[in-house]
Amino acid sequence: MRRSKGTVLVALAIAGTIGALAYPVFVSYPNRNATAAAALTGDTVTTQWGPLTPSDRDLIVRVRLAGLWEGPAGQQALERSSDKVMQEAANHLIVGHADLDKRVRIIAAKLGVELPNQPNAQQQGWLNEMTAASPAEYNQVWANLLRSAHGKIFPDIATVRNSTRNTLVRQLASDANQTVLDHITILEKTGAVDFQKIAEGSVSGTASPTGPPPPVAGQSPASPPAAEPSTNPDVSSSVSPGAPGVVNTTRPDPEELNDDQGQTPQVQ
Amino acid sequence: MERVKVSVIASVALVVTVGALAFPVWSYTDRSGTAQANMSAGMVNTQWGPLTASDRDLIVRVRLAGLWELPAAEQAMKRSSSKEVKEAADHLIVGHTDLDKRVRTVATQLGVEIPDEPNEQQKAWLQQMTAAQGKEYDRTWANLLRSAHGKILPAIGQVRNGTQNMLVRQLASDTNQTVLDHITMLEKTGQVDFDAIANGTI
Repeated sequence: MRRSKGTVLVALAIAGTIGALAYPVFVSYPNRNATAAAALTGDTVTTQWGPLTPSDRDLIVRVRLAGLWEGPAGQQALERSSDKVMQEAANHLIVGHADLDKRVRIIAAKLGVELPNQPNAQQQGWLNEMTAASPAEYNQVWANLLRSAHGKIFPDIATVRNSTRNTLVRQLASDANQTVLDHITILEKTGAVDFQKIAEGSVSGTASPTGPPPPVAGQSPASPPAAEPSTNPDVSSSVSPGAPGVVNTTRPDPEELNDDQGQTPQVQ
Repeated sequence: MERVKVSVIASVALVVTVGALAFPVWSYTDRSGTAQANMSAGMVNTQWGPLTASDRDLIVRVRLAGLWELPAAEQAMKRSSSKEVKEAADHLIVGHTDLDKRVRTVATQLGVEIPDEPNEQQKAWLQQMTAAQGKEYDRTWANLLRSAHGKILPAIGQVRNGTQNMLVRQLASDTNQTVLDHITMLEKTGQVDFDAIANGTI
């Protein structure tokens, strides 16, 4: 009698264990795709410019927030740094974010997305950090905080640019991609950016140690042939990259500005 | 005696079970360190700064892009009757001829070995285009190319942000400009299925 009780207990325990191990494989994992799909459609609303997803709205708000703290940060550097390259970078930030802010306010008004009117707590903290920096460390603190923020949003803009189904958000993502790349480039020109710190802060598991092999010292691989058209096609377009270190951000002005939506970031 | 045996088996089973359940927790903890370890694992120093596995991956991907998109674009120049498709093909040819020149220079400077032919997946895409007939042609062509460009754009963004290598940094900037142009031109054909792109089903 006691033995059969023990056997039943063991059998139950084993069944329970196998069930627990099998559960994720059969129930939660296959559901994962559905979860991703739900995230896409979950809070999606329909607009005349196409569906508007949570990721779309997130980008709109982040572009607005960028202007709210980077405008003042640029203004502060104009006052506090005497370095010519720093001044140039600050100039790009002020002009670039004033332009993006105008665009994002128009789009938010059309799509009915509510925009913040103040930097968030983290951005406020960065502004405080800059303000508190001594003259000796000012350029370093300023350039790295801004470069880090721009570098983090850059791949996210690309993700939205790829997957959005909304025509207004698509154009905003293209414009933001160009402005942010310009700012990253000009911030790096200050010579104050600590690339190692940026790299360590951005490690996200995308590095693949199984990727292409590292070069071997003293051994150069055979010079690769050009990949070029096999025929002689009649082409007339021009290449997209600018001169090294130059990102062309000229584009037509946005058509209209709705003054009811949001406020222009204060840059005095 | 029998009872003792059963108890021993049950105890061993319990210990193994607890161990099996605890194992993933232990391996997860290690995970956050793994990304960091990955970065330095394949990293070599060059006169232009450290070169990571992600950097080399981008170099190879830029090269591969040229190897299949040039034939794809030439094919469209011949087969499509759409003005917009031909214009997009024009941009692909000019853009990837230029990028390929840049990537070969960078790869040679850094000593990175790059492929001389498209990979299996890209060859399959070329076959899919070749097999497409009539009205299906423009659609198949634009969507396969738009999908590939859209996937690499965020990856370029990550490398542009995280690289410590000067040459890779400039290559990532130039590639971003070219790929965004191509995405824009491909969308102008009016053939891109944005739902399929969003759902990742192309």
